[in-house]
Amino acid sequence: MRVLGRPLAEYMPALGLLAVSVAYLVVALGYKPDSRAVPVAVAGTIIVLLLLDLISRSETRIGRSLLALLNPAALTDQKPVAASAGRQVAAVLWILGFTAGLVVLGILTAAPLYVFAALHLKGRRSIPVALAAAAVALLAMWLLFAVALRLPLYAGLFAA
Amino acid sequence: MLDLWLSGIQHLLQVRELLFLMLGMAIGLIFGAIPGLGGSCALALLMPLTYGLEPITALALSGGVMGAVPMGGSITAILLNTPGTAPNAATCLDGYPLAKQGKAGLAIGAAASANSIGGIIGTISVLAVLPIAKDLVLAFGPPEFFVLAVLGLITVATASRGKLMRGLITGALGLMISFVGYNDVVGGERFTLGIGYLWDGVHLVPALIGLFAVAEMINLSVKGGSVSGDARNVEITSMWSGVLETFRHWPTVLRGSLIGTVVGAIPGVGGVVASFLSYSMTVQASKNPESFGKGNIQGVIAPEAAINAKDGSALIPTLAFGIPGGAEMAVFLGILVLHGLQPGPMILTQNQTEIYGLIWALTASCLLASFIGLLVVRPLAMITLVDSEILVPAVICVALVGSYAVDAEIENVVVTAIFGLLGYLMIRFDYPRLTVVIAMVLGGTAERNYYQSMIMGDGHWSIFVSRPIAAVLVAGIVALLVWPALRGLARPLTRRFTLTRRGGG
Amino acid sequence: MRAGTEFHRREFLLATAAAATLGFVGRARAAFPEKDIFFIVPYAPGGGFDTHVRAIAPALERMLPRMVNVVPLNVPGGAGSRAANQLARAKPDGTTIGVFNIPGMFDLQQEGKADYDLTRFTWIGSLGRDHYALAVGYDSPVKTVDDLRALSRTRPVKFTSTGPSSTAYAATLIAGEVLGIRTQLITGYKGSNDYVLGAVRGDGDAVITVLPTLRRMEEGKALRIIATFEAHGSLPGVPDAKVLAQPDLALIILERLVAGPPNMPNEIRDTLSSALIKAMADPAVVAWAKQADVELQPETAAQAAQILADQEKFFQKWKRYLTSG
Repeated sequence: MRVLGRPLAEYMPALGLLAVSVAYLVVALGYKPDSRAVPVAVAGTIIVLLLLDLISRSETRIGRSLLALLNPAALTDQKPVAASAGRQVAAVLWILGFTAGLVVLGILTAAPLYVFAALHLKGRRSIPVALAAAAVALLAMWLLFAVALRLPLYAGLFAA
Repeated sequence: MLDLWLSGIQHLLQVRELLFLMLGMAIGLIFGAIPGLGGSCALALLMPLTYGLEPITALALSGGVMGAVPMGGSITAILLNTPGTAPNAATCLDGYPLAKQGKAGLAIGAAASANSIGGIIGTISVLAVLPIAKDLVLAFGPPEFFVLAVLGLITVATASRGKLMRGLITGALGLMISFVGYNDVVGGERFTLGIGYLWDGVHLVPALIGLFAVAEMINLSVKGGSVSGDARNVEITSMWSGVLETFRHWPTVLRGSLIGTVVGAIPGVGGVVASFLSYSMTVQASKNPESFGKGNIQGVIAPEAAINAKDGSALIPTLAFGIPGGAEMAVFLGILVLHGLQPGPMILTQNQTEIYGLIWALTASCLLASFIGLLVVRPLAMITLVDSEILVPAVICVALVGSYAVDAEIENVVVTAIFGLLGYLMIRFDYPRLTVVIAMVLGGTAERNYYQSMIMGDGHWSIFVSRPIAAVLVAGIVALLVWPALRGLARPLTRRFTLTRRGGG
Repeated sequence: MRAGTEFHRREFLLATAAAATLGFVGRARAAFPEKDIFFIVPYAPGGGFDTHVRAIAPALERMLPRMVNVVPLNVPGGAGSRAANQLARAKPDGTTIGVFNIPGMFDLQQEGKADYDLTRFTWIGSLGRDHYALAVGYDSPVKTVDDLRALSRTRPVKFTSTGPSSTAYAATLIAGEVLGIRTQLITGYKGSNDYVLGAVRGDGDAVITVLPTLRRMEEGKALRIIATFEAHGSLPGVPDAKVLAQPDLALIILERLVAGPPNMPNEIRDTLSSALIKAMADPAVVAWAKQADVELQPETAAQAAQILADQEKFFQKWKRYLTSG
């Protein structure tokens, strides 16, 4: 679907930010006057800027001149090579998975598990190599926290 | 005065003190390199170790740690886009692109020399300013802090030339993030959604680790390959030319050191402001600002000089009143108290040996750490050749767990992941990250100091111009805003003038 | 022969199991302390509370029946509530204790925003206490409490202060009320000392904070103490609570009380309590306290619990003056 000459996907970044900013503004308006003064002002400003951003992404004359005036780098900068959506989602999922693992299983369990999985499943390294790396990770975590820092090692949601 | 300075060195030049200095330096380098740890963490850890030591030895250790941390942080910032400490995030901006071009050695070399020079200038500034330290600290209050914060925010906005609109958008986003949390000046919790962890706001170091380290690792794993990608050979031998680059760009070094010194002397404003401000002003002063963010060596020199200069001058509020100018200073003062000393306004007169000893230890450690950094460049630069499939899990592991280690809160990990995603999206859709960081750091400061100034001035804005320093700063803001516009207007005029002259002559 | 061996083996196993169980139970009962003890500090490293704990920890280690490590654990954030929550959820086996800022910590609880209940913690003892005092800038035109009262008749007097949940905040508001001074607080300072620096700078007209800090500031000619809230003043020429005819002022005290999680067994509490008291009498600690101008005040567990109850009543009494904002 094209909007004003460009596919909808090209407006997504600004639209996403706009949604967040509007939500922020709504929440801010619920606070008492002293508390909300500055956040409301900032949220209002960013919404205006985002509207300009949206217009500048379109193929209209006003859009292109806005872009040339306010963000010329977007015209001259090399566009980063677009990678496949699959690879991007995969990369993000690995991170989110590790994060969830840390929260649910705790550090000493999740870190070696992640290292092993990332090396063996994703990196296609052999099992011994992946296990060795996981062992190194485990040792490093333990040395750093229990021994050196004396920090309590978060043990996950199911810790006693 | 000179004899005091010299007696400080004399006490240091004992074998035991030197050994502890080296120990502190080694620990500082390591703790600086690992994200989430840092100087105050290392010092807190070493506190029990200092129990049995003489005060001067404890200070040699502390100075050793504090002087070396920035160098450690800059190495990981350059090689892995992972800020070892929060201020090093500015080093990532151009340091990492250099590493991607296979020029890690050049970048680290420049960082090392910028570190050293910044540290020396910071020390000289502290020693020079000590006599008026108290007056200096007292001259800056909430109105001045507010105007400085605004100045900082505007500087960054005007420095994102070519990306003004998107820079302002991310800046506003940073401000919105900075308002999260409990604020006792305006009263009440804001935007915390009932989550206890957010009571203190979005924690800065986990956010920075996500925004830079995790975001880049996502990028790398999507791209594949290694950090130095297609670079034919990793220019390790360019380390010494990196060192020389700093001397070539001496205005940048001086500017960075000056900014670092000034910012460091103001209590409560951190190293992040020093490094990012130094970076922004260098961009603004440059003839080709578009080259920044893509591997301009000045983008490494500027923040690194500022960070080390700031460490020296952060001592000033501490020395003037015995009141810590930052987290590291707080721990350092704690060490003094543990040794039975009573830091207070009399600290300069009562504990001269210790103070000068610390200053020299700091400087010596900074120089030594830079040198050590240079020694290990060769093996460390090899990291940029490691394949992403091994590097990414390793860095992610260290980054996320380091983020937890900041203060042992598991929620930090979630923050890091979220900001990692945000950072990646910003890379992908070409929104600058520089402005988000500065806004996050300065937003809360600006609002807080504004309301404090309002109470002080009974609601009148005149307080910002009735105080001399604040007035000067306000004038500076006006100048900063008006100058580019004037330059833009002047250009067609000068062009016409030149044409007329040519035509006439 | 086989039957005989089996019989012996079963007996042997039973006996071993019995011995192991008995030994295990016996160990669990008499074994405190066995593991490291974490001493929670609700603030970042380097602050007053933190240094107190670190100064006393080595002596505490030596005074326990068995040498284990006493590890200071900094749990900053949430104005102390994070630390309180962590202690509330810890195992009541003596491996986690914490020090708290009383009565400041009652603020969040009173406002119903806390997940913990300080009165249910197991109170073990105290690391000491501080009295409060009132000071103005060294060159301020205000010289006495009466001057402040006179000023207050024309406009509210501005005090620099930390946020709620610190005793200094409560102290400032309560003292203002007691002394008949209209107060306007300038809060929002980042650290525990920044608001004192603010007072030196002249951001406000006056400041109320702990006496040791003010003594140092006066020594450095940065601030001038115009009143102390002690019952019997320690500073010549400076009015105390008695002179000001306001005995309530002497009740405003910062207590550094030490607690363990709720439902800690009495033996463990008593072991810790006596070790703490002995540690504070240790010559090295006493010498340190003298040099660092720190007032140590050991209390028994019962006394600590009583102090907490008194402070809670005191806080309740003044609660209506302590609304934030």
